[in-house]
Formats: sequence, C-alpha cells, structure tokens
Amino acid sequence: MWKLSVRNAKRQARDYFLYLITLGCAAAFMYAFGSLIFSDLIEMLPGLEVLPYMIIAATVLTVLIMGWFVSYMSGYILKRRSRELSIYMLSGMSAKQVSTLVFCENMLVGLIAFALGIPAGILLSQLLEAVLFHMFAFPYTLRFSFSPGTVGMTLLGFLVILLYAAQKSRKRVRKACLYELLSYDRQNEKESFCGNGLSFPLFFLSVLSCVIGVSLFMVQPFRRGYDILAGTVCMVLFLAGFFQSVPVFLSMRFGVRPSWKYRKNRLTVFRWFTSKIRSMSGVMSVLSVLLMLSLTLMGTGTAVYMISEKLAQDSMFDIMILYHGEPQNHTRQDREYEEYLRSEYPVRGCCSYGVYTDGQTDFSEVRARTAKEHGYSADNPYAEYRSDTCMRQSDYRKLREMLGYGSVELDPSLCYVHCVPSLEKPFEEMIRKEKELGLYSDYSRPGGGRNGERVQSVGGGDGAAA
Amino acid sequence: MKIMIKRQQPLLLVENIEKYYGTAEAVTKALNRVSFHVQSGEYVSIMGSSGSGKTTLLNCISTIDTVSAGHVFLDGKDITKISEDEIAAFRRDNLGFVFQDFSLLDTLTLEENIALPLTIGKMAPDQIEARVKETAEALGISGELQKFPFQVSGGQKQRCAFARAVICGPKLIMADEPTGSLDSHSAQMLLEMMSRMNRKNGATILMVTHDPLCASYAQRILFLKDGKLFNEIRKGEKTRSVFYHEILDVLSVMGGERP
Repeated sequence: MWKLSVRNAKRQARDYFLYLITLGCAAAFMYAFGSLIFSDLIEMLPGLEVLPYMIIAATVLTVLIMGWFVSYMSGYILKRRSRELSIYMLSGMSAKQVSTLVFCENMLVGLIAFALGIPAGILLSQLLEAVLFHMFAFPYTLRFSFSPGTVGMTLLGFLVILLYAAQKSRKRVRKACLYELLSYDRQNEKESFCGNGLSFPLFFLSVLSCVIGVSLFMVQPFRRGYDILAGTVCMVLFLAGFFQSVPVFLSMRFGVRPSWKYRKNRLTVFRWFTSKIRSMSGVMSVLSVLLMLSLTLMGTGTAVYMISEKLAQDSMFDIMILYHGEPQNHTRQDREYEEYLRSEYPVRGCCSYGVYTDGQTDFSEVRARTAKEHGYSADNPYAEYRSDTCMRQSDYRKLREMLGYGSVELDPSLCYVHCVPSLEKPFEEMIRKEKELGLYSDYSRPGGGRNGERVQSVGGGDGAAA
Repeated sequence: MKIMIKRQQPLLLVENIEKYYGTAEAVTKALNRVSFHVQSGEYVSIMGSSGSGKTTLLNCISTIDTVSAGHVFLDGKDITKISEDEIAAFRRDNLGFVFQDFSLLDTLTLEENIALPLTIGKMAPDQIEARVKETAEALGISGELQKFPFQVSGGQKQRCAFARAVICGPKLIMADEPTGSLDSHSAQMLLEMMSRMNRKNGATILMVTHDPLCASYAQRILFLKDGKLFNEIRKGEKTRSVFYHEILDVLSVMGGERP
C-alpha cells in the first residue's frame, strides 16, 4: 500500500503540486508571524500594550485561514480521486485501508511542504520585521535569525492543520458508502444552515456583529488599540456569518422563481453557484476577511507610521537623556555622554544651559507633577512640554548666535516668549487679555504650543529666576 | 420408488429486496420486493428501460449500495449483514465488477490495473505476474500491458477491466452496461469473450443491459419494470437470433403493445 501511495503521489504530481504549495505557504506564514512573538528585536519597539496581542491574533488568524485553505484543497483532491478510491474498495481494499492510504499521502506531502516552508518562512519573517520596524521609523538591517522555539510552535500549528484536514478526508472516506464515493465528484454540495432554518438567525447575528465592530472603530471606548482589535474580530465574524447565510437565503429565494432563473444566462450561473454553495461560501468568507484585514492592517500600519513620523518630527531633540534626581549629581555621566557624542557624531558647537522652574530642580518630579496636573499618564510623551520652565536671557542670546539668528535687545526687567510664527497671534491675544503674566505662567496653552517645543519663555536678566 | 433429487443451491439468491431513495418529503421506491436466483455457471442478463431499477438492483447485489429491506445470499452467505471489516475481503474474493465507463485507474498501466486486486490481496509478485500474463493472453490484450489507459482503445480498456474483474477468480462477475461505451465491433468482441468465459470456465455472469443484442448472449433474461420483475425468458436450445427476436417481443409487450 505504501508503494501504491508513493506511485500515486509521483504520477499525480501536478495535482499534488498545488496542494504542496498551499501547505508550504501555510508553514511559511505561520513561521513568519510566530517569529514575531519570539523576536528579540520586536521587544525593542515602543511599548505598545496591544502589540503582542495583535501579533498573537494575527498568528491565530493565519493558522485558521491557512487551515481552511488546506482543508479545502484536501477536500478538492479527495473529490477528484473519489472514483479512484472507490475502485480500490471494489478491488478489495477496505474503507479503513483506503482512508489510511489517503491519510498517509496527505501526511507525506505535508511533511515535505513543512521542510520547504520553513526556509521561506525565515525570509518572510525578515520582511515582516522590516515592515514593522519601518512602521515605527526604526532602522532595520537584514539578518539571518533562526528560532527553534518558532519552528516548534510552527510544527505544532502545522500538525494541527494537517491532522484536521487529513482526519476530515479520512472521515469522509470511512462514512461514505461505496455508491456515494463512486458519484462523489458529480454531487452538488449541500447547503449548510438551510434545512434547520439557521440561515436567518445567522444573518442577523452577523449584522449585529458588524454594528458592534463599526461602533468600536468609531467610538473607541477602550483606547490603546484594543478597540481596533475587538472591532476587527467583530468584522471577521460579520463577514464569515454573512457569506454563510446570504447565499443559502438567495438560493432559497431565487431557486423557486422560474421568472428570475430562466432569464438570460442566469440559470447556468445560478446552478454553478449552488452546486458549490458550501465551498463558495467558505471561499467568499475567507477572501473577504483577507481583503478586510489587508485594508485594516494597511491603514493601521500607515497610521502608526505617520504617528511615528510626526512624533519624530515634533521631537525637539535628536538625543534626550533624562536622569532621576538632581542634575548636579550627574556631571560625570554628562561628561561621558558628551565625549561619546563628540566621538560618534560631528559636533559643530556646544552650549550648556539650564532651564528653570518655580523652585523645583528634579526634572522627573516636575514632569510627574505636570502630568498629574494635566491628567496625563506618567509615560505620556507630551508631559514635559506642559511643565513651565524658562531660560536665562544670556543663554538665549548665546543660542541665537549659535543658530545664526540676528541679535536682539532684551530688557532685563521683562520676560519674553520666543515662539514659532504660527503662535504669534495667539500669544498677542493672551498678553492683551491677561494682565498678570509672569515667568511661570502657562505658556503652553495658546494654540497647543507646548513649552520647549514651539515656544520657550525667556526669563529676565542673567540670574536664575526664582 | 421415490427418487430424491437434491436441488443445487443457487450461487446467488435475492429475496424480496426493496430499495428506497430520497428524503422524508419525496421518497422513490427503486426496487419493489424483487426476488430471483442465479445458479453457478449461469449467464444472466437483467433488462429494463431507463429508471426500471436494473442498475440499482446490481448495486445492491454487488454491495456498492445497501438494501432498504430484504436479503441477498451469495453462496449461502447473507451479504446484507456482512460487517465493514469483512466486506472488502468478500468483494475481492467473490465478486468481479465491470462498468460501462471502464473505471480503470489512469495512473496505472493496463498490467498494473489488472494486478491491483492481487496486490491488495498480498499475493507473491511472481505469481501476480504469471496470472496477469495468462489472463491478458486469454483476453487478447497481452501486447498492450505496458500502456496506460489513455493510450488504448475502448475495447481494449473494457477487456482490461474484465481481466481485472476475473483475475481473482470470483464466484460472480457483475457487468453494468459493459458495451455501452463501445463501438459495435468492440462490443461484439467483448460479448463473445464473456460468452466463451462462461462456456469454458464456468464463470457466473450477471449483466445489466438495455440492449437486446447484448442480452441475447445470455442464457436467461430477467425483465425489470418500475422496480419489479416483469418477466423471465430462457434461451435453452434456441439460436441467438431466435432468442434476440423473443427479447424484442417481450420488450414490445413491456412497452404496452400487444404481441
């Protein structure tokens, strides 16, 4: 029987080739997504809480979709070979032997596909990492990485898929009587959810799922990306339920109407559709889910990339080093950083200056207090811009000179606000309206300027402001 | 003086079989309490128009399909009660099948197609080779054994299918419209070969056909109409030509004409 199986596989190589490619792609995709979970580089990415869950969700979805493809392909091959298998049974092979033969063939092809899929998966994982890093505006260099953990996880998922598909085929062969097997390739597929009246409830449930999903996308009650994830799951359920229920409903409605059926070439198209209604519903579900996911992920990726770009652009500093505690306690580290930066980067000039608050000198405490006052979380990147600091006029003049701006006359008894041109009018308005403005007034309010980003208050004289 | 004659037990005994198809809303009764028997070495043909139930009857007897009621005894064994584990070996050892569309495996050569039942039965390879060669010679296809089905004619394919059906020495050979896909010359060759097998080797053949010429090669003909046995005629000592015309007369009666 093993020789018969191998000979069949060789002579039907063309049919099995497509099956092999499908299985290989399944292994490659599963490895690629699984590798993100184990990747040490992914841990370097900004701490998006929802990112690991998104990767896991993508991996699970990949397993489900590829599992469906593999099951579909194995069912297709079984259909094509049903007559051949019935001849084996007529020639004296038992149903158990035939189903074992089919099982062994599937497993043989599966293992070959797995061996071919892993190298492809390694390449694909590099591509995925590159895309992910590009989304967050991180530099990425191609590297070879092989994760035994990922291979193990992929093998497990792959075996689940393969065994499910193989077991399904085996069950079909065992359950079908010889007469059914002889005519299996000519049979029309039976509609699911038809006889038991489940198509209508399924349709309404799918629509409800769609409404919930769209609401989650628009309202976003949970924040931090969980709404997108939950909304995507709801949309997947909507598409799956929709394409399972609507074709059944349509075939029930239009199949009994000769006035509709017999016009133009509707009859052949309609019956071609209903002959494959079960698998076509599945195909349409999967394709629409894939399309929706592709668009959603493209949109999400583009949005994340744009946010990353904006964050990078809005950042005032190329390198920002923050310490806990008092700055004077870290002069040694400052020197070491300066020496390192001078050795690594072309430094054209250097100016050390301080910014001053109303009494506090520990930057992290100022930041935490500011975040609390304005209702930000402690790790919000904009918190430091809402703290009110000012600089000395002498430092300001030095910086102007370094940047090539013209010199300005400054009255030591006054404080000034240096801002981008777009904030000029809001500040004029603010100064006109508010009589009591001082060194530590809230200069980050007007036009969302953010102190230190697009506006900087400059204190009076050369002494430290109180 | 009483002379007790022991009646020969029939090889095939069909008792009151019924077959229903369809769902609860629309049931079709394909066979309606059909009973008959076939002695060992007989050549029996089952005739009827389309939809009369002849293929269904053959499928039920050959274990391809199951009966809804009734019994089928082959050499004393009730095949309607055979378990799934036993049925494969039973088919291999006792039954041979010939179909209208040949049902050869396209990936196997003619030799391999014929040898298939023997390989499943785990016969020794040298014995398989010898037996295949002998059977192929008897059927006139020994020169085509290394070819694939798509490389030979319809007649050669059907002879290969017949060779596969008889290679295990089955007790009963069942043929469903064996000449349906053949030209007249190939059909005649096949029918004469089957007839020769029956005469010389004592092969028991049960053939389904709608063609009177094909049926005229048999020794006994059972006529089915609407799932029931309508008539039975025997060839006896008649010539095939006379028997052929007798078949036509029965068919015309079945069609509603008075003889």
